Amino acid sequence: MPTLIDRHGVREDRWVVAHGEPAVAGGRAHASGEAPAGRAHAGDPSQPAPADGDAPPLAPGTAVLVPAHAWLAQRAYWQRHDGPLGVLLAPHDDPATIAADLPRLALIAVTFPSFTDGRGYSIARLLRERHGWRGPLRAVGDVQRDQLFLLARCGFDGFALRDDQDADEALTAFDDFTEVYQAATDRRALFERRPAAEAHTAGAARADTHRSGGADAVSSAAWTSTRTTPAQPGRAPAPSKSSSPS
Amino acid sequence: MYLYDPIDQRLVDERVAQYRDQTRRFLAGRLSDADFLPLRLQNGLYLQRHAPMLRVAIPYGLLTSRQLQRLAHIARTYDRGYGHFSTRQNLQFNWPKLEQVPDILAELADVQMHAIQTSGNCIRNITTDHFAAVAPDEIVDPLVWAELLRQWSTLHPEFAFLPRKFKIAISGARDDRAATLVHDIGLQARHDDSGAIGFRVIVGGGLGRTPMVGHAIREFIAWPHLLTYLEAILRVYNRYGRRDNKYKARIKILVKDRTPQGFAAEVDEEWRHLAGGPGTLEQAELDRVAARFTRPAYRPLPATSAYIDTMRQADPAFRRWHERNVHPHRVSGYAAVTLSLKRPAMAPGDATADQMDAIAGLAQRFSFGELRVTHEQNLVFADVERDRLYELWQALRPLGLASANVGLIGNVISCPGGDFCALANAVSIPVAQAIQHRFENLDYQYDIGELDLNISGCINACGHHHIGHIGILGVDKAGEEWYQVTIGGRQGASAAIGRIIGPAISREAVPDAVESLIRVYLSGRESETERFVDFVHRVGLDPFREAVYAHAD
Repeated sequence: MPTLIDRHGVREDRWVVAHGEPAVAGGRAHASGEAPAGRAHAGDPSQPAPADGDAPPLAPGTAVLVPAHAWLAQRAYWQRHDGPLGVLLAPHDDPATIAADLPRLALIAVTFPSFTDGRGYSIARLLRERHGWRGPLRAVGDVQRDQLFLLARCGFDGFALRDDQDADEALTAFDDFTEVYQAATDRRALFERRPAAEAHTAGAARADTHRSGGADAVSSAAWTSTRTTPAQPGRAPAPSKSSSPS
Repeated sequence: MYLYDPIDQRLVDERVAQYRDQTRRFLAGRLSDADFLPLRLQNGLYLQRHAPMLRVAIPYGLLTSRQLQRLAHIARTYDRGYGHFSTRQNLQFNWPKLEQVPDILAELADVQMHAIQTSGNCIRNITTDHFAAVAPDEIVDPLVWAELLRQWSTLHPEFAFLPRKFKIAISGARDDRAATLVHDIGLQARHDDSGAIGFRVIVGGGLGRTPMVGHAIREFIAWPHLLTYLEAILRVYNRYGRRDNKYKARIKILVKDRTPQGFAAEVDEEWRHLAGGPGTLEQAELDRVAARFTRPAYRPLPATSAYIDTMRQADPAFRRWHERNVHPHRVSGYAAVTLSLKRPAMAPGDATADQMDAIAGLAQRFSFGELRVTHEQNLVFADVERDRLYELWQALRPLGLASANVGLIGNVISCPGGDFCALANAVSIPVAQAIQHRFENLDYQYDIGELDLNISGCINACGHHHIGHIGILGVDKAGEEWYQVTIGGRQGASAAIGRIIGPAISREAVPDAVESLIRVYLSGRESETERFVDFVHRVGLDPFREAVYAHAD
């Protein structure tokens, strides 16, 4: 089962995926056949359409993630479920098709069938920057440590790590870079923030002098601990990693 | 030269640390080959035929003496004492050890260099005119724009995993020396009717398996909007470019499928949302980047040098070199000079560590401690006092860097080919050397006149064979190395893709075939001003076919 993290720690995953497909379709981590996040076999659009008034056969209060194609085919049916609803987008899905549904949704997840399929990055930015999605946005599938920094910049705040990933190691990825050039979901372009960014770098450079000369001598933990976290208005100081069971 | 500020430096240092950690996890067996592959490629590391190959970025081809000395040091310490300048204005080391690459990257970062995005399906090194900032026909200084694009594209979060590699070239001059028509995006500086500066945007050009000349999808984008407009193009490509077939994944295929007009409309629709938003450039940023470039402290000098005029009369060899390898400069009394990395004894584009050190010293003495790498695999000293050209020429000769062959057949462009590259179908360098030997006589080269001969060892076209007046492509026929010959390709504002003259020929037959092509031209040209490539476009392929294949029989 994939471990769910956000940038501060491991998080409990209460969402189940409606419909027969695994949430992390194509994710190599699931070649073992182990299903992610308690799959529920309900609302498969290959089955006859539900009668008027039918509701998904799910316990009230269950948080259900509905694949976009199923959602688009039977919006009314899913909305009769008594519990939180989310939509799972595949890389080829157009986020504009669910733009009008956003007020009814509690989660959007985007699938990465392979980490080299970069379409999900554009989908995330469109959801955040064009369609105004402020709720949780989760990357699922072939999600590995070395893509987390980029995913976070594009607006993802939840990451269902591929099975073999080490959550503690993954949590260091958000500090891989302390500054960025381009505008994205998280920050404006560096040149639009220059004075503040430069003041921060001057401070960080002083912290750097505490590091020993050879980078080899510095463990990865030491490397991150000597860095300051970029100031983020409205964000609480980084809490210690929570380790809720997932 | 652009001087890093503390943030630029910090990012490059952090990239070294990130890659060191990735390498450590790979060597510890915690990153699989498949997972490590895109990570190492995005830092320029290929696993090649004999050893890894590391491609170092030389952003827009600009180098300082100190950086070249560091490259020489790396060549000696971590490699076999030489490097290869590529057609992408980069430098490749052919023999580094995978476990030492993080140390090499740290050496590079120490002199404000890196290998970021020199490979992989991401935005690659930005290339430009090798006479940038000194060309008399310049509209804008493309160096400033290329650096802005370098920063924008470096570690871009949305475009790190595109369908395929993505190459951007920018030209600031009227004459296009940056091959903007054969890049994924080509940018050509322009003034609009009001005199405002902006860029003509060409999309979907490229060489490789499906060579195409790009299409202008926008005649003018005002400079403040350059980055947001590029983001719109990249986003449309990232979302809709084909990912099912790597041979159909370049943006040129998408542009062709959608038609250039259809693609332009999609980009405009996307850009409508981005225009004026975050990333819209400001004059202050332009000024800031421009101010971080060191500029030569030119002396007031007369436009011509009586001494050099005398030496041109007195020394025919110098006259030839001056004619071919010395180029005009916008500042009175200065010239740009091409150092040829092409001579029969050496692989095109190769330079030894000792040569690099010597060149670095000469750049210090003659050209303000800076030099450029050209897409023709030569080097340029951009700011040489005309009065000192003879002295420079004399200093270059013993180093084997004074071949007076720029624009001539001896200036062969060649990829490393099958001797080094795992992708190649056939060797390139021995073919280049055989041709250079055949045409060693400079008088003969001069008689032939302007002729670009480009060689690629496979269809990926790193040797730009499609835009050579004569192009030679290595192909595999039942496990044997054969060569396909094209003629009529050309670069520049009227770029064209060469056409195949007939069946592939054996390696041994290549020099004879080239000689046959040249004989057809020499016996048929209207005058010495009609270049080989012009002649091809006038008479067509038939006379060349007859000559080459009659000869082969």
